[in-house]
Amino acid sequence: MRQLRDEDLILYYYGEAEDPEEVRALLESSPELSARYEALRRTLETAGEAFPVPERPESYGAEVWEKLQPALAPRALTPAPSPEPGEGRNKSLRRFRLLPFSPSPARRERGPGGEGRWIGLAAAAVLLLVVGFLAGRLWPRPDEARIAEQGAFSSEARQRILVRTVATHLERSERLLTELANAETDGSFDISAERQWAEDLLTANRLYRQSTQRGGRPMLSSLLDDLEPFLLELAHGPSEIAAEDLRDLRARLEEQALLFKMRVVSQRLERDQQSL
Amino acid sequence: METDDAILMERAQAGDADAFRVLVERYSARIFRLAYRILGDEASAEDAVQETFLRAYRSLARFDARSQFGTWLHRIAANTSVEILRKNQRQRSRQERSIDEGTGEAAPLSSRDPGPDRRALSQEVERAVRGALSDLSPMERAAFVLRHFEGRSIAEICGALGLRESAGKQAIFRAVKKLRRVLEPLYVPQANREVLP
Repeated sequence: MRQLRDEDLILYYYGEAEDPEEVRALLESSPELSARYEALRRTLETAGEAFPVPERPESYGAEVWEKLQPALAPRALTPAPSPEPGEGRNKSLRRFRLLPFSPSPARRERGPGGEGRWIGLAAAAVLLLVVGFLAGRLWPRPDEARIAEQGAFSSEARQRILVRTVATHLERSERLLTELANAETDGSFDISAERQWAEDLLTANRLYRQSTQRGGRPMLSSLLDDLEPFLLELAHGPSEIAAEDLRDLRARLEEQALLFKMRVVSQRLERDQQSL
Repeated sequence: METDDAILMERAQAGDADAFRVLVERYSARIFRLAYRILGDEASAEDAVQETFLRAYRSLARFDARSQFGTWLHRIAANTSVEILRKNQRQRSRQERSIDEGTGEAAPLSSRDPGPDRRALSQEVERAVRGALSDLSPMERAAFVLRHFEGRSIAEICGALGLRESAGKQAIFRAVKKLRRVLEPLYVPQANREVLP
């Protein structure tokens, strides 16, 4: 008679045994085997019952759609800029060139060609590295906002910390989005550094959104809510972004006037910091 | 009567955003459950839901009309959750290193171990299950969740996660082994009562 291993019993439990009749017969003929199977069955059933999933409200699907919709705006709203003659071999260089932010791709200025592109490439790469490094090291951590909420400070001090940390967060987020909005590419664009950056910002954004909600700052909370889908998309997206997706991102940023709103709110927070 | 998924997908592929909205509304809670079981926390599961639908939307053109929409979406969700879990684990490991180096704040031990006397058995079991699952690799965890909670066959799981059949089986065996190691001691007296008359 064949000896059954635990693996055979697991497959039998899940209805994937090669020969379930054989297993059933063996279980009926052996109390020891039957006890082993019982223990396994109980463990697996307990595991199933012991992992409750938090209930979602009936409106959950609609809420998901509401958050998702801005990120699903029609693609390729703006036509791709046509390549200049002889640009094919410089494709890999052009994709790193950053240009000053402008509200519409159609009005974007073209950068200089030839050696200027090499300089642009080098400058952009250095800038991304430096900003990415500084962003992770020098600015305040989200913990500050959480600490500010925990009651160890006076109400005024809490507001001051919240305003300062959120202002810094908005500044960092604005830089990230501006970098991407200004990047010109006709191929694919390596955004692995920005993705890591967006990942950090996303965690902070979620915390600040909750803090501002609780702190009675609904407008600020709403702005962070608008920002979140963009950070989410970048943080969990591929490490390379195609030209089409970059244009799409830029179009959506413009459509929602997100960068503009962020600048306005940042200025207001700056004033608040001075008055607090 | 609900419109069929296949019809909605056909409309969504033709650019009908409303059809895609219906699918999002129909599947969000199901995708959340899957993502939560793989990831183990609400915020990450919410991210996974959003990301799953974003990826699905971007891949509309690649959807094969002969496939089941639900299966296709679960496949995207499982892979998205595995990616997020990997990122979370990397991040946690960085934070733990930072704590070891004395540059961060240690997690409060009391929240992890509030003392056995104050815990109900069900809480202890839940903690044990979570502990066992968190010891699994993202791929093992996803394979186990898909098999145990979602009722997917091993062949389907291997197709979804890009595993060979033997690797898919091994992932599930390891998960069950870890669960048994933590859960069976909790049930020893009961087991003895049942097995020994």
